[in-house]
Amino acid sequence: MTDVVEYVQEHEDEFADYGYLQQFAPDAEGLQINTEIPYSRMQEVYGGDMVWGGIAGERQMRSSLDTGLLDGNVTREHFKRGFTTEEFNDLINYYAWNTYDLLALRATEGESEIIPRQEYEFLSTTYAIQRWPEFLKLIIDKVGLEGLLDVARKGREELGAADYNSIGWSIFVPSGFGCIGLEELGLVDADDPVHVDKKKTAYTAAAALCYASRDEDGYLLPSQNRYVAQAKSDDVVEFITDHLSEFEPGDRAQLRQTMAAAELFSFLLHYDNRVGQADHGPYFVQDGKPMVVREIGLSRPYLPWNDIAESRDLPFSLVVAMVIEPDDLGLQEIRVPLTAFTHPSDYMESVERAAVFIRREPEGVEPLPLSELERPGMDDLLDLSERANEAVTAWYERATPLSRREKIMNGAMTYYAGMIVPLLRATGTFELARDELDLFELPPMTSEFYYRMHGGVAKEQMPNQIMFGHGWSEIPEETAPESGYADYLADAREMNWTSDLSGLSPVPEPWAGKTDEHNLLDVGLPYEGEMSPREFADFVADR
Amino acid sequence: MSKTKLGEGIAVTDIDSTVEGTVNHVRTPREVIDLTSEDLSDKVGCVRAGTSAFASPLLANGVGGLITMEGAPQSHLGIVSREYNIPCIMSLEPVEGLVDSEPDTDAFFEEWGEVLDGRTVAFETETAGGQIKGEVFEV
Repeated sequence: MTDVVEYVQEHEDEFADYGYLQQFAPDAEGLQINTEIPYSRMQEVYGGDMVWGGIAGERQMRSSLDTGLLDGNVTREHFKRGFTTEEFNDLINYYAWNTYDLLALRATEGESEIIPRQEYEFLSTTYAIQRWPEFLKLIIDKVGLEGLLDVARKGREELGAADYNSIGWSIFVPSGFGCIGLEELGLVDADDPVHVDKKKTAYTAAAALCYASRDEDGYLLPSQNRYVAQAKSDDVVEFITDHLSEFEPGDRAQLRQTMAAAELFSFLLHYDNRVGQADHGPYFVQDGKPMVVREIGLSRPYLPWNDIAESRDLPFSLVVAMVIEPDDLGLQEIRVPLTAFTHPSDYMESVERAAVFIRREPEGVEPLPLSELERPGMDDLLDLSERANEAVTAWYERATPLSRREKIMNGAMTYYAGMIVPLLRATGTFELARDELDLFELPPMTSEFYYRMHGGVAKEQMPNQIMFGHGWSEIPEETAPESGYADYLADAREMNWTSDLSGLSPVPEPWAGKTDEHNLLDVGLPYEGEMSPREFADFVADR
Repeated sequence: MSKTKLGEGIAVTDIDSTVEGTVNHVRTPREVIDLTSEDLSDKVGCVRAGTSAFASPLLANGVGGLITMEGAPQSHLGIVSREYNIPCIMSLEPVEGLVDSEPDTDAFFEEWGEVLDGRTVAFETETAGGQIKGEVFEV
């Protein structure tokens, strides 16, 4: 799809006069849902104005950027030549605002009495920014950024697996959070050359995934295009709409109960976060009614506690497509920034048609054919919701007696693994990363961070440094001549740290001789590959 | 029926029927597990934070309503309570004079929870601007 504003204008004669379609008018201001807490980075860091969320705030945010990159102007060329420093910093400022727009209200949640979520989120991001780039480089070296674009494009052809727009966001933003943590606590300098290289790798790969997941429409995130996230191809949307059915009496309540139980267990399976769930849409069906598709992960074999799901035969994912009757809801606005939000909020009572699918298989190198999805009946959904509710209680009783450290480490693993494993599977490198490259080994600096973040640091840092954007550091024009981070890694290697694809760990043969002066994998510009993701997966398997 | 206003917060959804139940202030996972051995349909769970994990067995076992002392409807708990169709009022603040402790301190949340605990309450909601105001009354 091209620009949603143009699309709605072109289809004006076919669409009914639904109020929510006003959000796609060229000069729409949209609703201001958060009226209390503005985004203060642009004032604090640049002396500019406070910025708000929503459609009007997004427009204000983009107007404060230095390049036109975020005005729908991203092209494949950017992923061949690499982003300029100014473009990187526009990306950082925009993703930082987008994070505020999405998460600011959640900053007031407070600490969960069972999961130390703020600590594990902070810890996991420092884990991620240190280790994701090495796996990303491993892949980029062979398939190039074009290969990553192809992976994300393939994600548009299947249901119940990775949504690469969410994954792209979830690589960019947590990487930024990890940088904030390491820099704020004095573990690494913002202009350290190795650190900056890792940032650039993570941000570029993340932007590539976001870009291709949107069918290369020039945007990266839903907020840029009136909060529309059409993550699936026309063929997939047609498959879904072909299976939509009207509700029989009682069906809505049953579907609602099943979704609630599934979502709750998915949150718990991932230690109270959204890694297992992605929404996309709205897709315009019939006379302009919005259809939202929700994919809920219920089983993740790489998690050590996944026996709770497996023993109850919970599927890899549950997919629910919902067509909302806008007039019944009085729908004024719909936003799909990772999770669908409507105003008014309770859209479930106004779902007039739905389609439900079950996926058993994890993601792989090729998209799972849509014909292999199961179509559950209402009795199946009742059974599924009972098993999911049982799993909720089972997880709770399993997690309750764990130590604080165990809970933090488990939670950190859900974030760290949840965003990179789908990409590793899609490129056939999961087993290589897990078995040979210590995928789940904690970097030494993250171990040190674990102790430094205690004493309320995570709770104090999260709102201001992250939610309101103060802590994001720019990409510097020039990096420092020496790398303290490389020295840290060298010391760690002396203590038998064996990852970063270097040091005491033999670099796998295909990448031997490609390390830099710090013994880190060196994948420089241009980001060109030599094989397709499919060929790369075969190459890794045959190695 | 006489009613006394106890507090005001943000409702996750516009509640179209009267919600009435006895408040159970739960502070530890063990208290949550113990509570789920009872019929929860006429109980209102009262938790401090707006995360879904702590209160999850209450949701999965059909609690009549939920009160949180922190959090917003966009939080995990807000989203999931909406899907379960369980009325939920978040960031409930007491009316003046009901709680003595300094706001937003551990002592405040403890006292506020104890003030609510054991009372029979009803929820009322009103849409205003972009949010839904939620009020809790003792009945």
